[in-house]
Amino acid sequence: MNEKTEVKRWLVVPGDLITDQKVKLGPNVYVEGGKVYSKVVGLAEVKDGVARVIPLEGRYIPKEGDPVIGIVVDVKIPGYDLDLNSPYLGFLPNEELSEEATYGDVIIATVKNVDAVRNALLEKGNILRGGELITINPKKVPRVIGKKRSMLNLLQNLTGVTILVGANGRIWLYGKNVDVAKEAIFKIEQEAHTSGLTDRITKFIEEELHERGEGNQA
Amino acid sequence: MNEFIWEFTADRIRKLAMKGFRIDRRPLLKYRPISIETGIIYNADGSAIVNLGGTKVVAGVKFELGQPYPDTPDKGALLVDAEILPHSSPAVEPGPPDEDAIELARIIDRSIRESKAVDLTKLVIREGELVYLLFVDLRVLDNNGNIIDASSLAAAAALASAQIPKVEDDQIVRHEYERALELNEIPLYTTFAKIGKLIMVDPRIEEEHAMDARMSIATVDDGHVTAIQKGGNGSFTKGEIEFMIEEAIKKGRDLRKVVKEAVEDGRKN
Amino acid sequence: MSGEKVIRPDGRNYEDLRDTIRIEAGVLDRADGSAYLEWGTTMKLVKVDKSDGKKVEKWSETWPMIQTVEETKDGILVEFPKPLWHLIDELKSAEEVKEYLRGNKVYVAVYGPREPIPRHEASPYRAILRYRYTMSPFSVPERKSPKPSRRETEISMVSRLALERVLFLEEFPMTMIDVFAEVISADAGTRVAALTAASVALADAGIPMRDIPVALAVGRICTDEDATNCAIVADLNKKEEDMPGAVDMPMVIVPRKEEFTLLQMDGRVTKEELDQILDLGLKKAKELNKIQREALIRKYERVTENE
Repeated sequence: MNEKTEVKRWLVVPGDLITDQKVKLGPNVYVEGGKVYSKVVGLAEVKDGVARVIPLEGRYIPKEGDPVIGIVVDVKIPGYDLDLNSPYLGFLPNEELSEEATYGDVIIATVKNVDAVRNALLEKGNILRGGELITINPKKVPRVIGKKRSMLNLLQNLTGVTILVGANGRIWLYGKNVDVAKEAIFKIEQEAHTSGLTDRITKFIEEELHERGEGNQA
Repeated sequence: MNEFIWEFTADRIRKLAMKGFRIDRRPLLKYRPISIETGIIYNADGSAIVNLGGTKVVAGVKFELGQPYPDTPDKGALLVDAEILPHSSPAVEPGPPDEDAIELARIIDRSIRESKAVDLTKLVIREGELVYLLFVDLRVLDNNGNIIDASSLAAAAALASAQIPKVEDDQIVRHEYERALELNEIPLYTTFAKIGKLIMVDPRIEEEHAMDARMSIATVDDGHVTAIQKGGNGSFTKGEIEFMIEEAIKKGRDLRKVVKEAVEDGRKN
Repeated sequence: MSGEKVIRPDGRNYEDLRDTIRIEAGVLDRADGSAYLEWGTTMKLVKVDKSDGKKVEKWSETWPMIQTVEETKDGILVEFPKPLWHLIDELKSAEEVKEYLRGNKVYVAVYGPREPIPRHEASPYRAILRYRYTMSPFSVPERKSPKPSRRETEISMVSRLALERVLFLEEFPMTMIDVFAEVISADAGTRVAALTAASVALADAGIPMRDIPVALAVGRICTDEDATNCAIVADLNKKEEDMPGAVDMPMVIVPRKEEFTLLQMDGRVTKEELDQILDLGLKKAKELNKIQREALIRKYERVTENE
């Protein structure tokens, strides 16, 4: 009786009908005339009595608890304004950073809370140095991390690259095979909505490492 | 748009440049993939859309009638205009052309005018009274770097595939053409970016935010240079300039082949 | 003359949209959302001997969009619109030269939600929507000056109003959502072509919306200026706009609720005609909406079932 049932997910666009049953409303859906419709382009799902749509596009909106990678765009007396790849800014107080930062510095931090107009108050900041910074569609970040961090662990283990992922779509990579890890992440971004991705990514990384190992890094 | 957002990546690009590499591992003198389509605008007398590594520019050629300039009664008029559309990047605010758009229009104009690519004396209906006005309009749709070369390719392909409309009773007859527009030359720009001491061709947008200086050189087939524009606040040595001129001539020939192929394909399709 | 059938210049049925409508989502790299739309008549350029000249001339009288483009010493070049391509088979000497689209081509880019400019115009209750409709100088028969025209300003405003309520703007206070529509090729119905593409671009950007609004123009064409012999037609092309008694009504429809968020009219009609026009609009809205949906879905070719 405890069989795990497969939950059907299907691609929807705004205005598509999700269900006409009585359900609780999850994110990205709305009700009209007793029916539930999608607000966005995404994957619709009705699971455990909740109808929701997992969006495939959209900018990052700060949420409490999110790890984010920001860039210092203003240095103020009490702290720093960070660009979060979002229409909303993040603010990191001085005491949340163990060293002094300057314009253009890349900082990983956590969203402590969000004010009435969505600006984020940040905490536990750390400056990231060296390495490479890339930006992907923030809606694809969960796929890069994977269930229980499975995809992220796979990427790090296979390539040996340290990867820090911000919920806001910014990813910081450090290590020898950064190029391979980068390509793998962009591949995940393109194919995030498909199945069998884990196997394809494993294969991709193995092939790329092999190719680059043979040729030279130039 | 905050320049600081580019700083981290720009820093990485500069470090790689010190080792002689580009961020996308492209060879220093290699262009990104180029695709050109001509004859795409029904109401234009010549048109082309270019995709250079993601940078997209559309060019349209239109002939109108008007009075010649008083000091050149025996010549038609060439007018080049460009707009960097707000589509092309988050940094562009909608509004009248800014200094980048004006610079773009003027440098494309120079390359066409100074090379005498179009014989303006052949665009006269009645000397001193009525001439063809040759409009070349450029619209930048997507900026992934190097809008100068992309625009140059688009203008060249649009001109090379353009036709001159018939004139009856001093009026243009739309959609009826007299003859193809003959080009004496196909001037094309090759743009270089200098990052540290490294010189590379066809900069992508990230490289443009990291570069110290830029050099755009327009050449024609026989190896003459017909326009030069240096950008950025960094500097070049004489040796570097000579190197870039030689490369621009070579690249210009390669790019010219791509333009000619596109014009041929446009005729068939 | 009453009783004479009203014929569409390109041979279409009254209720047909133009033969070629294509939309591609996500075509611009830098924008948050984008769409490219082509909406028009595919023309075939055919080389024909003088021997078939009389036939072509007669057809041109019935269907003015069969047009002689060029006369050379060994023949004539004639343009045929797609609905009338079957006629080409009746010509003995026809040689196909090429195909091209005579119609509207629009690129729409969406940026947002993003930081508002100027800041003091932002609202703490909702995102501010900006819509900018512009036409390239080479898009129209007579080169258009790049300076913004009054027409472009009006269209921009009306378009913005048509979209505002469909979007969940209240989810993004203190921000701005920009819609930029550039018409690079024009042939009647540019504002609705731009809006149809804009809806797709907004969805492509992930902006939450109630539905994907559809835009089209429906109207009337007649055989006489006094409008005694007319037909209600969908999607007027340029030739039709210039016909006697022509009336053009651009409209934006939210398809699921069958509601109009934009309605404009140029002309003089009876109440009954207006009724028919609105009905035809609603009927065609679903067809267009399907094309919009498919553009978005095509971007994601394989659909996940589990993970």
